[in-house]
Order: sequence, then C-alpha cells, then structure tokens
Amino acid sequence: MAAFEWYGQDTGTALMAVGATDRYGFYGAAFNDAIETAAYQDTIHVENTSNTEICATAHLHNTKYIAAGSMDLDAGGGGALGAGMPTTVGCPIQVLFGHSSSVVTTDTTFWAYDGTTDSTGPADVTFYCGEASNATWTAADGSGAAMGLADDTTAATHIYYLFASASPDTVGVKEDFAMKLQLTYS
Amino acid sequence: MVKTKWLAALSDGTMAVEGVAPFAEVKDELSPWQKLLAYLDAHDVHITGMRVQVSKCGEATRTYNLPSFNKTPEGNHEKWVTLYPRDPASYTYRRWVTCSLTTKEERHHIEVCAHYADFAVSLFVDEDEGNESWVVVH
Repeated sequence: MAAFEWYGQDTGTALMAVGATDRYGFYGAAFNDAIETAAYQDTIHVENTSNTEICATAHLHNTKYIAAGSMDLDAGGGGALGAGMPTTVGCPIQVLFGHSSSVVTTDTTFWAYDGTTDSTGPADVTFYCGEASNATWTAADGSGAAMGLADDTTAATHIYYLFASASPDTVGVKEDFAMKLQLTYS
Repeated sequence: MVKTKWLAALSDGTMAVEGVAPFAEVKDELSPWQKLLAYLDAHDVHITGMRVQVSKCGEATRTYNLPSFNKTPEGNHEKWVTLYPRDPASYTYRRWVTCSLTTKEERHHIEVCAHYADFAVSLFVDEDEGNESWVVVH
C-alpha cells in the first residue's frame, strides 16, 4: 500500500513529523509575526489547527524568495539557486512517499491553491516554490501552473525535498492558502 | 472498502492479474506491474487487452474495459465488428495519488491506457469510492 509522510526540516537538522492536521506556516521574524505586504516570509513553522506552534525548539529552514534565480537561506544572505542552494537538508519541506513494493514514480507535481479548488491559486498570496537543486523558482499558482518534480526509478521509498516562499498581497491572515502534491506510480 | 486491480490479457493467451502470482504484491519486491514488465521481456509476449476490476464489500464486482487487440483468425474484431475498432499498439498502467499538505486528505485513481500510433485512450477509475470512471483521449 502507498502512504505519504510529511516532515519539516529544521535548522537543528532534525526531522519534524507534520501530523495529519498540522500545517506549514509562513510568518515574519517570529511565529505569529505578520509579513509586510509585497515582502516574503522570514520564518517558516509547523503549527496545528489551533494556531499553536509545534516547532518550539528549532524552526524550519527559511527559504526566502529574493529574485527568480536566488534566495535567502536562513537569513544568511542571498545566493543563487542551484546545486547546494539549498541542499536537500536545507529544504523546509520533506515529503516521503512509501510503498510496500518497489514502484517507479512519474508526473510528480506540486502547487499552491486556495484550499478548495486545485486550479485556483491561493487568495491574495504570491507563492513560489522549488525542488532541491532547481536553478529557478516556480510560481506554482494553482494546478495549471504546477511545478514538475523529477521522476524516480524503482524503489519502495521516494523522497522529495521542497522549498517554498510566500508573500501577502494584501493585509490580513491568509487562510485560503494550501499546498498539494500529486504523483503517479506503477 | 474498495479494492481495485488491473488485469492484462497477454499474447500467449494467459491473463496477468494484479495481486495474483506471479504478479503478487510482496513487500520489498518489485510491484506487480514491474513484475509484469519483466515477465513480458523474459517471455517475449505482449499485452493484448487491459481492464480494471473494482470490488466493494457486499456488491458485485465491476469491470471496466479498455479497447482490446482482439482479432479472430479471420481478421475481424470479435466485439462491435461493425465499428471497425482500431487495435492499440501497447498498454500502460499507473496509479494517481494527490495529497494536500494541509489536510493530508488523499485522492486515488487507477489509470490504464491503450496507446495508438498518434493518440491514446486512458481509462480512469476512482479508487476511493469505486463508483465513477472517466475516459480521456489524448
């Protein structure tokens, strides 16, 4: 049987399980701090549906959009995207797809949406993402603009390392903002 | 509970069934489909038809068929001969899974596909409820 496991990769190099009702949160300088409009997040956290932070000790790696081909990783200054920026362990999101037998995966895609309709981008949020070693950000705004991930050869475990960045277009909490991953296996 | 499986008619007259030896689902072995691909190579046979079966507790098994490469010795198709159906060149299978990072809700579909020279016909069957199917020509 197939199963997904979701993790947050924190700056303490630990792997933080993201439970069934937990979610990733994009904030300003600290948890619950606002991000100014047109600016991008300064921290990424794991939180529950009660808006309580789960990553109390170390927070997730912060991958902040700077320009189409560069990011600021953990407030360490800007750098060109590509091999090593970020490394796989430097990505804030890890997705593990496991299967009892060995399968190949193809047509894997990742996108942000409004939490209701796959093809509708998040409301009043500018979103960018990438897979470790990508040289550019992808504006994966709805399933029609989804980011393609690399195919994977026969294995029982397939791991995807993702980075993301978000910016509010208007003032206010952005709840109509979710992310989704799709793949095929055989 | 919904259980789906693919069935593949082979050119040697046998039927490969997902989950049934030699295409059983066994932990840490190749998937049933990967076993079938290896079997096709090793025995120099090919797929001549594919279908998906859906079993739900307390309900009769439902079967969804793709167009088959299914000629009589006289060269006529056995089914719907007056439509002169074209023979697929090959078949593929895969499963789709979509998962929300927010709710972790998953959606599952099984796809079998008949490939022709310049197009393909995909049959999708919902694996969560097992009640719906779709056909896409692409």
